[in-house]
Amino acid sequence: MPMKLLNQIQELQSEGIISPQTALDIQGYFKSKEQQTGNRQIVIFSVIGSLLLGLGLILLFAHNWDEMSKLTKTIIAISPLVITQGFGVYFLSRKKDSLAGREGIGSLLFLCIGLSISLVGQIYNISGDMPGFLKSWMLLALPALFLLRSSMIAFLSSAGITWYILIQKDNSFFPFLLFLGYMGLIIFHFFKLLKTDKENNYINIATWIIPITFLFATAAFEKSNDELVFLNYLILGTLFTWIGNSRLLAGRSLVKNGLKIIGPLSILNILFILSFIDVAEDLLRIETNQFGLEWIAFCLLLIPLTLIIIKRSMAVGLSKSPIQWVFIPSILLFLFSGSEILISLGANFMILGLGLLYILNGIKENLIGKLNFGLLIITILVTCRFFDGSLSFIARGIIFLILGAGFLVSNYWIIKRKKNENE
Amino acid sequence: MNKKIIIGLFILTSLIQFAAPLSMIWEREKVAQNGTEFKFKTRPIDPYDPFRGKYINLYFENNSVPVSNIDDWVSQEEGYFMIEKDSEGFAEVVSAHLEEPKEGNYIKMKCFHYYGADSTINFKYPFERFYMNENEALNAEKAYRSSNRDRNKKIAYAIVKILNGETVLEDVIIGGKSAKDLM
Repeated sequence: MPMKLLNQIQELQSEGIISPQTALDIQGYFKSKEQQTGNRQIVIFSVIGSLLLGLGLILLFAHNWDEMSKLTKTIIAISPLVITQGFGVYFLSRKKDSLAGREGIGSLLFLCIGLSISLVGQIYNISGDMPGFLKSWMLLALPALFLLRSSMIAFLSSAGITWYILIQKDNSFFPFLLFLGYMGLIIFHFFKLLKTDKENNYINIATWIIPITFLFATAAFEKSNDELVFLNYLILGTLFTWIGNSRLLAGRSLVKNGLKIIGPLSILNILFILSFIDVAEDLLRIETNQFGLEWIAFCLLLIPLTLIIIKRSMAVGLSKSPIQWVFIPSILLFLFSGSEILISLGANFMILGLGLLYILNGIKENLIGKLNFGLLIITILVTCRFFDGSLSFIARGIIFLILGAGFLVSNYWIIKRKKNENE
Repeated sequence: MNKKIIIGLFILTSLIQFAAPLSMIWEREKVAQNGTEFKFKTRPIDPYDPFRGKYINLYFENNSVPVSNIDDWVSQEEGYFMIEKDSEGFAEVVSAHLEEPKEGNYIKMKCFHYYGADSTINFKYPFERFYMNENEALNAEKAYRSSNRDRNKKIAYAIVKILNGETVLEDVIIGGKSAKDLM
């Protein structure tokens, strides 16, 4: 506890402003807070230390020590794994509840599994079957995620399984089932964590890492009907928005709830892409009668989204902005309109509408962030139209002048209103 | 969950994690000990792998073979390729089969069926990487390039053991010397 604060508490107590009991309570509060910060630091350092150790070992062995015999190299390659497993058993039988131990051993064990397989590959010159290597690594690490309850294993392996799904070239559905099952288990881990410890820092990180993982992986669900992937991204963004606003994650700030940022940004991103008439024209080539991976992903995304929407009571934090609903007119337009002009016009109007609603809500709620976000959306929309529109320089100049003035006037107005309210 | 059960499960998964590299070693050692030796003419080049370090990439000249029933072959699927020695003593792929042969030396490899290819099937050898000390991999490529100028030393080849379709790459010889002794 800082000396300055301690002196101030003593001063307040001697002046009779706070009672001796309150002074003690305040001191107790800060002490417990200090302890929490200390614990967090130990966890962070143990994870960083283990990761550096594991990566250092990988680099050292990658040098390829010619002087050693095959047997020596093999023993040295497998020993870090065995030692870490030994630590794991010791830890589980003694200090089960240390978060630092769980995460540190988890990270190191994860890396040592990969290290041992890759080094045997090096020693025996096994050709680079990267997808196979990643698959074995991730499957071998999965049980440790649950036994050690290590969120670090969850983060590292969700990156690994995404890498696998993106580079695999299997002709069957197996890799996709594996990916979905694996990610399902990782989400289950965080769901359990959320139920027991809502304020856990790893949940905050998971709300960023898991959606980013799915953003990458959705690209893998594409074989021949790639136009449909746009719609899949739109539904994925909508799903993130609904989950981010669900009762489970309600009340978290934006930094602690990545879903709330990644969701709307994904939706807007896709709308912006589709607002170009050339892209909209491409989209018309969706083959509705050719059932493949893209349609499976489409259904897999639409089913949970529909379930969440039906049980609307699950989502409590949804604002008045209708961004969580734009997927409905989008799907109808893109799948059934049959006209590229209607699709791109629709996308343009939806972006414009969303931008205006953000501005209006920002003004109504006195939130500068929301207001500027709305203005930014409209600015990007106008900038986009420059590339496929045939507007004259004068028209473009005037639009930009209006937007610039809009930014200045509306911000000034809100700041002034806030000032008046404070007075 | 009960602490004892967790520890038991952890030990069980540890054994599986430990068995994975061990079974890889077992498979390779079986081929290295009992396999037939072949020499494959190659061209080495030096790239690197983030996990396994430096290696020389081997490019093989002989990488396609005619087949009678091209429509039965699916790209990316595995087939069996018969190996024989040519007049100079180097290995060559002489035929390709969808069923595993009962006798002879053969390698299980992924095949590639290029669009428009009439009656030949391409394949990818499972021993295209020779891992080396990071300081020596580039030397191997340089040695090959310089030996290229001298017609007599030009030949580089890989020594591979083959057993029941599986292979182990034992060494790479450049200009008569092992790639590991080029320093």
